Amino acid sequence: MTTNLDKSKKQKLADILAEKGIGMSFQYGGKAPEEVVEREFTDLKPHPRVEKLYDLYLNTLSSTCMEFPYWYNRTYAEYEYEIPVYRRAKALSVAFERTTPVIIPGELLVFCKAPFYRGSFPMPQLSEAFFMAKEDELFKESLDRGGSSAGELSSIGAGGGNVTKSFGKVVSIAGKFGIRSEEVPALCRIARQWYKKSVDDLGNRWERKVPSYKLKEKIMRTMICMFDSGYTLPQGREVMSYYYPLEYGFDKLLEMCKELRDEVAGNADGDGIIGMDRLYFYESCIVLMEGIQKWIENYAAEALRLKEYTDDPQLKADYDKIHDCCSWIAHGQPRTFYEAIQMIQCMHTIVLNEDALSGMSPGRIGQVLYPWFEQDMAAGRITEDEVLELLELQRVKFTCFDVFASFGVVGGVLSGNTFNNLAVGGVNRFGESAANRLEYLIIHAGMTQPCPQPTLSILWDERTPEDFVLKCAECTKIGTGYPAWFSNRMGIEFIWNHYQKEGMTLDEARSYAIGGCLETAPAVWKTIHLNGKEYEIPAGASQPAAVGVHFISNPKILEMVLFNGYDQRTDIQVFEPHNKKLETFEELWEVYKDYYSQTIDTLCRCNNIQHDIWRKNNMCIIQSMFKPDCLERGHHIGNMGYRWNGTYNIESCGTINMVNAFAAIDKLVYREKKYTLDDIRDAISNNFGFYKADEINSFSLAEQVRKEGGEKYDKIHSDCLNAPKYGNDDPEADKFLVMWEKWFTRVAAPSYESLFGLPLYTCQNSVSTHASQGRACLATADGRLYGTTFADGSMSAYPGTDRNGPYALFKSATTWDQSWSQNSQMNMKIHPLAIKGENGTKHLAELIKSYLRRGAHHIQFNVCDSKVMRKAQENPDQYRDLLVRVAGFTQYWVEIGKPVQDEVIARTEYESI
Amino acid sequence: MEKHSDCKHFISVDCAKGLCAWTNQMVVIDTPPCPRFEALPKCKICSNYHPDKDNMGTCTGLPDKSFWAYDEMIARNCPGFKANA
Amino acid sequence: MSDELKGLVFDIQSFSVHDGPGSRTLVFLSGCPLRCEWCSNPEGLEKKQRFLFSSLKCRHEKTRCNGCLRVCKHNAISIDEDNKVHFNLDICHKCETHDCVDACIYEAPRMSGKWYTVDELMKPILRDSQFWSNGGGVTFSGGEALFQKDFLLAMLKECKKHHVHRAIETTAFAKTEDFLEVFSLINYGMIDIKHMDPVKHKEKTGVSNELIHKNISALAASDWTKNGGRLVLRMPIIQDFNDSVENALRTAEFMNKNGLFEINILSFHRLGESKWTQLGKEYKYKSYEPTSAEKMSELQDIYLDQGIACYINEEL
Repeated sequence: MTTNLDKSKKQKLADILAEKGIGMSFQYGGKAPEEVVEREFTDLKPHPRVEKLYDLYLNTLSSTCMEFPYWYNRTYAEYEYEIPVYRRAKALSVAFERTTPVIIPGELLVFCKAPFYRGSFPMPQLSEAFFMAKEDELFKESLDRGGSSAGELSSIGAGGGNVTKSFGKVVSIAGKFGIRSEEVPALCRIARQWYKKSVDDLGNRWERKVPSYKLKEKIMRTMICMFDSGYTLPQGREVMSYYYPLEYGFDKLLEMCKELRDEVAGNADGDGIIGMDRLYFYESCIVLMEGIQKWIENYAAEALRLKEYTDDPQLKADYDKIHDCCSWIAHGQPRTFYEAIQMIQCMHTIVLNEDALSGMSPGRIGQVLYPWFEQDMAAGRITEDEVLELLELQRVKFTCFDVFASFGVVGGVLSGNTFNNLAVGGVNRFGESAANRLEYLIIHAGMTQPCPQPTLSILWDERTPEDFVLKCAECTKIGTGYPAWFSNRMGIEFIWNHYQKEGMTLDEARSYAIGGCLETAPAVWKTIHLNGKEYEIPAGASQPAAVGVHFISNPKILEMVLFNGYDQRTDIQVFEPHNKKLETFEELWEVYKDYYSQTIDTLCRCNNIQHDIWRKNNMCIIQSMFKPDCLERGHHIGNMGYRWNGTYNIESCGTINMVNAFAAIDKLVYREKKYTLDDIRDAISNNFGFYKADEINSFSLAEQVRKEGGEKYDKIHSDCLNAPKYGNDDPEADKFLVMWEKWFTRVAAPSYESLFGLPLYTCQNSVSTHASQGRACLATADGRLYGTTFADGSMSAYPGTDRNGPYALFKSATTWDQSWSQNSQMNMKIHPLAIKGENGTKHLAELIKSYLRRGAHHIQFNVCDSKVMRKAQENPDQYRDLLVRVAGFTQYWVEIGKPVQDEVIARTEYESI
Repeated sequence: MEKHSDCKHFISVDCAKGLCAWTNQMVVIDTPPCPRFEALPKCKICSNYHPDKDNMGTCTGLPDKSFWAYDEMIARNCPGFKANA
Repeated sequence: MSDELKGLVFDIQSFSVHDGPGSRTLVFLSGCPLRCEWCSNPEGLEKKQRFLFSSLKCRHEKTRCNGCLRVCKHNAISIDEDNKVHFNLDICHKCETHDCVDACIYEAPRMSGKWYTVDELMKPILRDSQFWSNGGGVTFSGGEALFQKDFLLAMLKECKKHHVHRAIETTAFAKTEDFLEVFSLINYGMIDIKHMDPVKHKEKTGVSNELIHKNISALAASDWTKNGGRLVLRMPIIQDFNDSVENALRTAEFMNKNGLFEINILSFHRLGESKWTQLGKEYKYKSYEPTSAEKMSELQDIYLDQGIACYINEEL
């Protein structure tokens, strides 16, 4: 990374200025040339073996096979008489023992979920409906796969990514996963084994007992709620705990479990309800750990086996290394950094194999791995370059993780992402900065090996050292979208405020990290003992921190209020008609709260049942072994063995469109009385005179086409568009945000209980639901048209409506008390030239801090580099809000003619990092 | 007809291809293997496996006495695997 | 603080990082005595609200909206066979009501320029002051900030009262007493020095440079720098106009004579071109390429060799 100025020029400049009594601090960040530290890593490229492995990933198809599910299901059937937790543990244990290990030449970090470089597998025990519905289709597809065309094989087969359609002997499932046609009958057979028995089916059978179930069904059909919780992604959006194997190793853990089992066998110890369950749990841990040990040893054996087939001395050395490492970590506490990071890879993989999950975050592993890093470096056992290589390998391995979740979820909400969130920064229990040298290298690996996982977050605190902050800002500038920036203090405020009901202290609150993309999740401090030295590390200790009520569409509820509970799009009367005249804003707001409450209520109850079925029949055991305090208490997740159990929440979407709609209605109908509510209804029903988005098959706002005669809505549309908008530091809009949040976070959410008897809280990030739920929503009173996407995140302004610059947006976003919400999400686009060079990095860091300091949770950036600008050239309509800032001059990209666009692109590339 | 993924020296990458452990080169699964082919234990070549139709059959080699299985399942770590004579 | 005193502002930009120290809020005041042919803010040349039409924002081809057509009182709008909308901007510039602006939801036709009282303009500045960093503050630019001298003075006094750091980007083409009065309230000045030759200067900017140089010298000779003021000269490098070695040497000589030691040379860019088109005017520098990196570096070396700290673009 070099600025335009070379060293000799810098020197000349410094001399001239020094003569005039002006230090370089005016310009180059306070460092005169003699003191400028030559960058240690000026080349942002990954190590050669990593580059090869990442290239391979890019050319690997998302694959699935039936091996793991087969063994799971066969063993599950064999032990049908057993206590459920043991039955499941045994099934998992055998599956791990028997599944085929795969090591790719060149890897140093190993372990795969399925026998592919990039694989996953279905879990019909959660939901088999998709396969049942598609059975005939899948069968037919597999039969059609008789002959294979060489062309197909070489073109599609050689490529990577999703298997969007069948080819050769590969059948496409859900347009994403490829399965060998020979295995399709086995897939269907296993699915059928779970017919009416899966968590989905059983959950559905029981949730119908909820009196308001019919309402829930209608809410799902009309997309007021995005998807179910209990069987889709029952785990994830939480922070891992790697503590126990890292501290004890598996042999010692087994020994401890056996001792504990002996202690509790037959004893209730005062707990007449679940005291006896501890015996079954410990025995389950034992049998499962034994299976896991065999799995790890299979990898060691595989390395040795592959060594026989190659002459390449480097590969032979690699395989020896892998063999020795896996042989050790199958039994003992990791002794070196390499063994520790391998252990992390091992544990992360096995956790992912137990359930359909997304958002299983590694957490603060720079702090978790620090003991080994520090000691290896001090003893000269490893160099920073070797550490960097391992961190890059870890990035590629994590990117290879696929998730095979319920059909509606994978392509929709997740868009294929698995959200393994790695957090850096934060503080220790004494409030001191927890950032360390290893975390610096982790960020650097994120720059040399940019790839989707693990995604990075920084828990920024006032005490985080400035050079570390600037390193993270440099990483943000690369344009991968990470790290996301979180306010450490706000995170602590939320965590402590919410979990103090469960006895959390301030010290403990400081150990938190981010689960999934933005789900602040609590943890605890644990002590690692390594060679006589003690280190305190954080360990995730909570249930999944985004389950319960998934994504309520706020604007859609407003639509229900306006239309007496009726959804025009599906012709369904969703809510009981309120029949109120809505003569004042207060009346409208009361009905809104009522409909919203009914929505939360029915969804909460139904999802509680789904989760209850899950915890009774499909409880997680692996995480229960590894998360505090399960081993201490002898209880798995279902029996509230985790330290923090009040993690269920309500996710919302489209907040800003709702706020803007309230502002428009309040102004135009109630204050100025320019229009009646009927006028608004009429305009919305007629989409402000435009065709519906699905009639013209485009969901982009700029493409919407006006109907003949639509002009009569011009005036009202214009008035709605010009009504006060959030993001401009305008109290006339922002007051509705404050009103909403006060009710949503402090009144609504805490009034509902999860199945664990603990209150809910709010979660306000949209993932990608703002597109899907936008599709199902009519036009809104803020002037937005039918079917078009909502404002993203939760605090981003609706595109094009924030007119007064970033600071006005920040002001609007911090008008409400964010500490009662698990998160808020602000996505911002920024042009690389505005943050160019060393000064630019500082400006970016200050911009971020200025926002987070004011009581905001989060901000992340899309740095619009030349790649983005090229895309914007091809699809200008999707980039209408893209701004170009060059030397104090701002212009919308879409307003610049192509020649000048080319100029800006060229300039950006030339001057890019 | 044998394919690459039936061979011991095949390193699985995805559902269409993999690497040959000998050469470290990419091979497409559904192409004829080379003379160094060595059969990978799979149900379809196990004497405890009794094929039926649709690439599935019955396994009698494990303590549960009898359970359905499928041709292509890899049996390297199966305690009941016994190669066909 | 006079309530009647108003200023015409055509843009306010927050998080500007290239117009003075730290991150700043840039206020663009309308009106300018110069007419530089390459100006990138043509809508600020006159002290009045300007009408612009952006054909790239117009959606008529797709949406057939006709919003503007229906309300135009002067037949200034036409649609060709390809369904492209055309505005006869000569007519538009004479229009008093600009009804099309409200009628278009895509903001293709728009008015640039808004009148503010001092209190009203202080509002965004004070809001932003809570977010500035690294020595940030407000920068007055334009157009030519000195063109609305009374309003500018009132703003500067108010900013000073609120401890807001004050910078200005100016041509320095104003009565010397006005110029110095304004600068007495400025912490950081950026003055354009476009060409040393008065004839060439007038050719392309419409005015000669003697007054500008007189003002710069007066400022340099005063106590302003001693009292903490910092002056950085600026030169947009325009091909075949001021990019010669000779001009650079003469500029360096002028600076040394006046004890000035900082100059920021800026690459030419054409980002303002679209606004000329939107105003219905011809942009004379349409086909000029951006200044090459080699040329910029060459010029920088000349200044450095003359003992002058020369920064290229955002290096400052």
